[in-house]
Amino acid sequence: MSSKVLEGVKRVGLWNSFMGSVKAVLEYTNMKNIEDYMLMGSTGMAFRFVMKSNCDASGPTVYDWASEHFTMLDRIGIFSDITLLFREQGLNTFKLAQVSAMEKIKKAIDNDIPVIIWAPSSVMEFGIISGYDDEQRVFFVRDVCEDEPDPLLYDNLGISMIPYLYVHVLESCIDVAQEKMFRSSLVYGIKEWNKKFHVSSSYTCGNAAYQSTIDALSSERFNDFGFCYCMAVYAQSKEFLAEYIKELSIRSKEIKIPSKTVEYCMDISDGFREISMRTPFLGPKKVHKVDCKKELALYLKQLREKEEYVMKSLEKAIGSAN
Amino acid sequence: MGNFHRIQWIDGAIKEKRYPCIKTISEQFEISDRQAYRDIEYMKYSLGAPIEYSAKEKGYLYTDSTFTLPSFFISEEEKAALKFLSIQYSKIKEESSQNLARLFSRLSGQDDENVSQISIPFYQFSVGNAKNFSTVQSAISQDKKLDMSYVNYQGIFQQRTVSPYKIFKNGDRYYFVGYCHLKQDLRVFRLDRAGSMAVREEKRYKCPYYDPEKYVDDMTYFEYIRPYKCTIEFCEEMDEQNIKFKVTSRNGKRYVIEFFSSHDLLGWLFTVSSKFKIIEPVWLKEKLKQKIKKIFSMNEGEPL
Repeated sequence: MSSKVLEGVKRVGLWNSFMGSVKAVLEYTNMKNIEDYMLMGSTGMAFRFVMKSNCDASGPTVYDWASEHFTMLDRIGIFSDITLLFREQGLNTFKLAQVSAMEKIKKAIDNDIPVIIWAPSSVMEFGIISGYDDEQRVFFVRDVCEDEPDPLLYDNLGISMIPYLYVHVLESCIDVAQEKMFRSSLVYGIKEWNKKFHVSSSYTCGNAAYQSTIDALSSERFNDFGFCYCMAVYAQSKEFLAEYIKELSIRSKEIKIPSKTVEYCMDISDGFREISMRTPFLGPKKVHKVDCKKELALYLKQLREKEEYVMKSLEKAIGSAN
Repeated sequence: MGNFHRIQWIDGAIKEKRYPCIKTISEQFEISDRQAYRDIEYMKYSLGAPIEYSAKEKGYLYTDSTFTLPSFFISEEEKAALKFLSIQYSKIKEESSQNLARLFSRLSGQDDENVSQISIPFYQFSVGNAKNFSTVQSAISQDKKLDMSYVNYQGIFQQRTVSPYKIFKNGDRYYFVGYCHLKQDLRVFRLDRAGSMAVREEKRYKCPYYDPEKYVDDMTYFEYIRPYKCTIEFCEEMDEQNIKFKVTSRNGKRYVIEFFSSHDLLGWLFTVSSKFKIIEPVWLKEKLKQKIKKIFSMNEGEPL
């Protein structure tokens, strides 16, 4: 029977709960010192804009977690180990997978590395395990909502309303050449923007996600709760993206980004921030009723045109740098 | 035998001037008098039949002999499906959905409101589900238990008796929460996993720790997980019926209680008694201490 708690692991502080968790782990372990906007931008996460056709809250978290997260962190030189399993009903070996994941988590904690998991509390977001206690059979956790959430029972690892057993340990970090990192993130961002198909027909990505959101605003199946949540998440992403592109335009010696592109990124960020302020996310149990839908649709159309310009400009900048 | 066959028989009997009455209908089909009345009411109000009771003939007749039955009929199963749909659409606030709700309600024989021209959004459902929905709803409204066959998530088939409390939906699925007399605990059942169902002529059991607020449409805190367990010692006797959480065992004034949120549990403990002691787990004791510390520091220096 053993126990260990990593004191001082911070709570998840970003709307994007995965990158918020990564940031907290990086800070605690001193593995890499990186600003929020740089983390979101250089991994490529800030470019992601996924919406469901009815604008429900699933958009920001619907993608292939294992391969996307591994590649995103690899882009900035972080090597990580990921376990991902969907708990289908009637799965015969789930208990064994749970035990194996528990051992992996405890080993990481013993090595002073907090572990990223899916849904450590009742909030369906990524969060962190910061300790364990065999006697009480609990993991101590950090999430996006509370300072001190209730611990996670060993038995409930991987069991939630969205039952994914996701265990992610950040193992080590190597240096990556800055120009390579910049280029890789932009290539990923442009690819995401032009993506024609994302996971299933009800989800769209990048440019298509704008259209899907505009269409949803005039549909009866529009989800007010989800729209407000998505706008809050993406407002922060677009803010980080604008900061990242601005920084890249200053720091990159190979990729020349025009000032108008940076300016448009700022406009997009301001636009999403305004939408988010007008359609506030009030937490998991309250719903803000979205009004002025026609106006919002028109506004999103303008923002899409600006982002289209930004992406074409970035594509040109990468092409010229070759 | 379905009501379609009975209504055809009544129609024929009236047209042949045999003047059927409640007794002849109930005897002919071995149904209750109440059911026979319902058939007459259905013909009159839902099918628009000009049917009246004649004291002279001691039976029913048509006041307009040109009346003919509509060319299509709605069976009991279909009525249950329509009732299910009317409830489902009534939950969507848009006008066209509300119109659909009224239409389905009227077709199911519940309502007589006018329906305007409408556009129909697509929605999938199974008739089996609709029938079960209707049975669970009947049991709840009659305050009765329910017998059903149920296949659990592991694919195991079991016969269960349940005291149902509430139907709710989560995503595209319907569920109901109830006290399972087999498991002797609250359970959530997926409607599409239930097989045959029947209302049992026995009053429902009232579970003291059932909280309707926890089972609301599309709420994310729907409980899929195992609960925490704690041991609490009270300084005075507690009436178990007043404990809003599941008590799994008791030893004198020590209770083993299951809970899902320390916030809910500690909040409740403060409302029922100031004299209690958390025996275990340690993390819950720590939570209590932190909470008290927080309250104390917030109030430090403040006059009471």
